[in-house]
Amino acid sequence: MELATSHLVVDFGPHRALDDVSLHFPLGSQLLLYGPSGGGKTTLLKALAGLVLPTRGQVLWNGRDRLTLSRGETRDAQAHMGMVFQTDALFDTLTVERNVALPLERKGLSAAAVEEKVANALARVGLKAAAQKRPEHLSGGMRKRAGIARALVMEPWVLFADDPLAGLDPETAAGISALLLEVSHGRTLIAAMPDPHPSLPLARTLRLTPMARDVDNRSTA
Amino acid sequence: MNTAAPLRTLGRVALPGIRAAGALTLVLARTLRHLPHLSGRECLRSLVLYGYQSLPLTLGVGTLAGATVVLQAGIYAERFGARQYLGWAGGYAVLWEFGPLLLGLVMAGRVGARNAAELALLKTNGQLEGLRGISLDPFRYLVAPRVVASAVAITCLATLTYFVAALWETVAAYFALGLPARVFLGSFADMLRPNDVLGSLLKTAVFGTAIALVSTAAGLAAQGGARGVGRAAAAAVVFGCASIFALDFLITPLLARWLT
Ligand SMILES: Nc1ncnc2c1ncn2[C@@H]1O[C@H](COP(=O)(O)OP(=O)(O)OP(=O)(O)O)[C@@H](O)[C@H]1O
Ligand SMILES: [Mg+2]
Repeated sequence: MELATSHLVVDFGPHRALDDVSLHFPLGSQLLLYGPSGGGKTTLLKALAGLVLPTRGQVLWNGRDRLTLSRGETRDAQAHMGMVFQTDALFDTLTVERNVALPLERKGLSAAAVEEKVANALARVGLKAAAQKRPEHLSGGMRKRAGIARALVMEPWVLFADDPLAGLDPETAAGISALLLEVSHGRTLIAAMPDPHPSLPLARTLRLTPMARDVDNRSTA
Repeated sequence: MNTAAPLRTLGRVALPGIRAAGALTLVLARTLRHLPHLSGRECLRSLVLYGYQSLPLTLGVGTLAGATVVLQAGIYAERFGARQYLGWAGGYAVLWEFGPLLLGLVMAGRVGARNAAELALLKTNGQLEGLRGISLDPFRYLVAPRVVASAVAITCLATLTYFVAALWETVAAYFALGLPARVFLGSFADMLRPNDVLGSLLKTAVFGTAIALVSTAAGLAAQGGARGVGRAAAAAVVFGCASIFALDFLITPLLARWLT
């Protein structure tokens, strides 16, 4: 799956969060968004994932303006994208296992198939033992991994990771980075964080600031 | 100063009202749309949370309302020599006014605040958006079940309150006024008609639905962190109570004309 933005502008009321962003992500590309708080990193990720509407410009999924897609096409496209949210967005009322199973709901899979996919995703992030726990009883690093498992359970082509290392000690952060790099094999990985982290070296970086933006294409896509 | 000033003032006053009405209508419409395929588990969870866990409070309200009404009405019943009508008066007062209103106000605080705070937290923590990110409609999965559960819970709790209130009215009438339970319940049964019960339940259902809609709209409008959640809960209680008084004023004459 190929993602792109073309002259993307996102305003929240009078406030401009993104100004004229044009990017292109072929399948398998990597990008690290960084910059100070309020720079629009989350907004760009959400716009790419279709959770925030462009004020002007376009978000393109496989070359098509996503606003022109039907409801079903939008749903199909979103099924190929996994988002690890900055706030992790896990439900404390559900077990880790059920949280991870959420994206599979309404996919018409048998209970056994769902169970297998969830078990695979949890094993991948090393959370098998915590499957029956509730997120509120997990450590910060474990919550992050549960969030990653939920983003991975659909086997997405594109993985968004919003501030995946926030609040983690260096060792846990290195572990999460390694996990992200490992699972991003063959997928597009777009990560956002305040500063580039040595443990997560991605091919391209883009600095977003509240005032000005400068693009640094180390290896262009 | 200029001709635009009054218009601007009107706009400042009217706009929030129109926006609120729009938000309520939207919550109602979307709940109705998702009614046929609600998540049973979420409904049950919300029913337990809003209904079952509010039982002690409801029993307390029923007890106090019942006993107070009889003690108060009893003074006048004695004065005018109408002791034998006390059961009817007490039942009537609790069914038509005290029960729905009192329970509505208590539930606006208990269920309304809770519903608004939960939804506000889900919104500000990004869980609602998280569901959209995986192509699940948060309204269908989280919001609609809460609207339905709070409306149903309040209506059921109200029914229970009336029974409890009637029971304590009988007890209070016996101990405070020496009225035998047979006489009290007799006048209760003779003069209260099924329509009185129906009217009371309708009223409560309307209040319950209003609390559910208002608190849901308040929760979904929340912005920002902890303060946003606090503001949403406060708004749910204030506007929930206000809507109950307004609805009481509006529907009591209608119901009374239709059912009596
Ligand atoms: N839903 C919203 N409503 C109004 N303004 C918003 C909204 N979301 C983001 N903004 C504003 O847009 C700007 C960019 O926000 P964004 O969350 O994208 O920043 P960020 O780079 O992710 O910051 P952080 O590093 O703190 O996560 C900020 O000024 C923010 O206040
Ligand atoms: Mg952010």
